[in-house]
Amino acid sequence: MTVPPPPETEPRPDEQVPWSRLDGRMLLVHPIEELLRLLPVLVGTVILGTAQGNPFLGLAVAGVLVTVGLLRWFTTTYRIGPVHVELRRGLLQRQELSVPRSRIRSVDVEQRVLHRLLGLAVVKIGTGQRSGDDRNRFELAGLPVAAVPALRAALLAVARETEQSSETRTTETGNAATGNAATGNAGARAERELARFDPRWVRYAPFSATGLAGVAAVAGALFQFELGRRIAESQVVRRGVETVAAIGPIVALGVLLVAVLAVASVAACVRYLLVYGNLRVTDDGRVLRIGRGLLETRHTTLDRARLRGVVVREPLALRLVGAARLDAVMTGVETGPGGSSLVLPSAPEQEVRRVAAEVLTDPAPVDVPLRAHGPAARRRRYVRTLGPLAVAVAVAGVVLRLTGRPVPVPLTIVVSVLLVAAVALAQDRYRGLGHAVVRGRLVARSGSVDRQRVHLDADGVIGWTVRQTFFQRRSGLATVVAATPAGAGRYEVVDLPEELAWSLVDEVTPGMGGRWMQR
Amino acid sequence: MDDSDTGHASTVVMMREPAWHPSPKARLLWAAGAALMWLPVVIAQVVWVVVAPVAPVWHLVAAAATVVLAGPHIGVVPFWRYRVHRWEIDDTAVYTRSGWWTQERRIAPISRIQTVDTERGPLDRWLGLATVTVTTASAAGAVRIAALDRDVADETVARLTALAATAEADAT
Repeated sequence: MTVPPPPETEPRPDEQVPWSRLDGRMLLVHPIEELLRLLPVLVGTVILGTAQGNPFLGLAVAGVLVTVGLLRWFTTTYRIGPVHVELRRGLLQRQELSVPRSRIRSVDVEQRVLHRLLGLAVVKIGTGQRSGDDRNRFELAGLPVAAVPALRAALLAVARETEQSSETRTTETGNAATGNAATGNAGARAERELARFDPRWVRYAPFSATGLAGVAAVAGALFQFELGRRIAESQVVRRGVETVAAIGPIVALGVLLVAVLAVASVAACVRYLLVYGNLRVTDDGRVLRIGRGLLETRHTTLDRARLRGVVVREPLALRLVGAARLDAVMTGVETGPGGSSLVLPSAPEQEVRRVAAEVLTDPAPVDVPLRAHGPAARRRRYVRTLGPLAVAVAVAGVVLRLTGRPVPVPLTIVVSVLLVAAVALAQDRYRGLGHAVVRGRLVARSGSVDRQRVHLDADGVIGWTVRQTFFQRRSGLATVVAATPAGAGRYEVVDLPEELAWSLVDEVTPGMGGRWMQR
Repeated sequence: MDDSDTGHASTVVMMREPAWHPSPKARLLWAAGAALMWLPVVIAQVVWVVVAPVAPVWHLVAAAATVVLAGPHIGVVPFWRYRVHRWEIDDTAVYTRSGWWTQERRIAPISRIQTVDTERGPLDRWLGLATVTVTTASAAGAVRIAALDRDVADETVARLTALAATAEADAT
């Protein structure tokens, strides 16, 4: 196994570094992964083969898959040169990836179940490109876990050095089992624990959107294995349909709903434990380290030099049970659902706020009361939630009048329920609106069902947009969009009074308005 | 606006509008673009009339709908847009105003510019126009200065490129 050359040596051309292969244990992992990936095909051919009296068909397919898996090891080589890291892979379609070490923005370490059993780890090297193309991910799938912390430290050290040449180089030695490398730099910087997983947090899992997604995933998997068809045709379902006819559709719908919710909740809890179990967030003043996962572990390093703020997410369901989530806003790190910028999953709101303050190293932005956006913004929230409902009711009324039918009772019930819900939603959406500028940070909150509170560093803002629709101009409101290379790329301050728009811009980034600004 | 209720001591800052107009030919460019967009719809309706000349009411309804939608799109929006579109650059920033129904004012500091491009579609070339696109490191940060006369666009690109070259960081 190649240990990366000590960075202190003279930069040599990459050619002098020999190509190396992934760990030999991958000869076991690759075929198994290959078999699992195409399991439906395999099962299909076995069934087909048995039906045609040719049991060797399935065996042959399995043989091909195992061979492909083995060849994967022989065709994958990589080298970590002083200037570039390079990866060659691909069986039929050869692929060569080359990443300048100075461009490396993140090094994530993942352990899937098989890797973990065999003492291997997957090293993912990110350059912060927003290509979204999975094929171009630089992934060293299968290095011995003991070599990983040193490799990660070395890869990140070069990138850091090219960026801030003043920083003294650090030597990192790591604890392989946990992947948490301790840092020794100018008198051993202390690693502090910011947060640790609490099993009680699992109670929030059913209130996140992933609960229902879990049910869908299970259903999808069942259907993929052709179990769905069998279930649909089975005696149980047929009997169920007869029962529904007997007890009436409304009761049946209620029972079904409760059943789905129960299954979804259990699925969400299991997923939460598996994905976020053992979560540990540590901070050594230079990088944040986040390790998580019960079976499949994942270790992410967030460089404080690339941190531009945090987002506290408090979607409606989570907020009702007093919970929230925390994401870091990073430059040069791909983000996405479950992406590498997650800091805390669904956790008690107080804990989230505490960790947010720790990550920002300043509690003021997290605690500051937000400035409300005023009556015009409130009116706009009501118009926007009640408007569509009013249109729908009007259309229904016209249709009923034209067809000469009486107003059905269920319709009035539905409309009243929707009306109450819309008013509550509008009010909550208005209460969510707010912004503040505190100690060089923009704080903005918006949304109800998907409420988020953004805390963005002023030096992360690289441009502004003040947007007004026709109706916003009429009601004297404007939406201010802060453009940033970090996180989502844009963060909005929604519907603030238009005369405050440029004041806000000037307050966050004094002077960015240039010669056009008039005080 | 009175700030006393919130305790935020911010002075009200206003922003002057950018001063420079796009090329006067911009109106023609946008009208021609809209007209080209509606052309397939009109052709489809003519074909419909020729192929199925029955039920003239529906033909009339379709024709009326087209006129009501396409008319303003070709005859009003370009002029509205021309009244809104403005731009200005100086040594520190690019500042634009654009849109018609939804209007945006964008400002991007020169120091954060990553690339400066010109785009010339077929219509642009026909009218001797170009659009200058200034991108920053943010997905939301690209600033487009639409429908400039070609020499103005070239001059602007040259100036922005020179200015951006002297600035260092792009904040990635």
